[in-house]
Amino acid sequence: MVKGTVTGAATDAEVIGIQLAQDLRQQGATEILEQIFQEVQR
Amino acid sequence: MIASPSRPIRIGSRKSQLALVQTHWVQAELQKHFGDRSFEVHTMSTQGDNILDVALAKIGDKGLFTKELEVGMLNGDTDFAVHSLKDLPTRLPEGLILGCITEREDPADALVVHAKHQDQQLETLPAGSVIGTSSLRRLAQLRYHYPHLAFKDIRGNLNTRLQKLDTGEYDAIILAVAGLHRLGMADRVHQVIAPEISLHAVGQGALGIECRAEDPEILALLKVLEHQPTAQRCYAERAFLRELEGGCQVPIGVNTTLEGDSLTLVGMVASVDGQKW
Repeated sequence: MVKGTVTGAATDAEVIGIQLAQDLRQQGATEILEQIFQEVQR
Repeated sequence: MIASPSRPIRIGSRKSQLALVQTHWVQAELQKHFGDRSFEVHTMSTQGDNILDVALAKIGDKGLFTKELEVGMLNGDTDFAVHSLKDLPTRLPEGLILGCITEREDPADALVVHAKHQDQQLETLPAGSVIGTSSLRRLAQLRYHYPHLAFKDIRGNLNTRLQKLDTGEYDAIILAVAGLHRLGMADRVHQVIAPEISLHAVGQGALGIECRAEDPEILALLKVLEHQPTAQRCYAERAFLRELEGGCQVPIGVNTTLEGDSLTLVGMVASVDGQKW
């Protein structure tokens, strides 16, 4: 499980979402999601 | 495609009781604002409504609960569709857009227990208690925090799930607080699960209204239902999910808080076993 937090201006909502996703990718989110897709396709 | 004032505006909706409660709320709100127009609800079944014997995650298709409604709009059979925002993919078909996001109900998950567990909470349920959930997100987070519990897939609409619980097939089930509130079943919420235990789904608790991009009249009508604070929170959540290329069936959870102009987004991606990565 990887987790993170980003705070910013509410008017930059999209940017906040993208930044958090990129942070979690650096923590290993991509590998976790790939593993899940392989498991559910079995 | 301009809806002439002489013809009704057609709203697409799923057929479930919850979907219809949500759609009729939208219909009534629009009717209040635009008394000279009429609004008709057109119901349809989606793939997600029809496939009930396979775990949602195994079906794996984005748009499981929305595709048929989208085809209706693109064909001109309906003018807009009301969705639980959590079911609406973050990438929409060409020609369709998210026209507005309504005010959010409590986005948290709820524990609903069988009568024999009325004195229990998640943390005190006996070891091996069977908890029903169809969500990988809930499964991963709850398995991590409560490894003594057993988890079992549950499908069907909200009433079907409650019936399965009440007949003893499960000791407890996990449902969205918002759905129970909207159906007048707030008394079935036994425990609201804190975000420290389980982050909710992207968009949970809000309604998303999808319409044709090139339909300024419908877009203008829908704007009266837009709730800006909810929309800001949900746009952040949806951007997070889109960037991770996830759908509503993957174990991705969020929580957003808005204080003044400052928005905080907490997000997580879980492995199915709920273990630390």
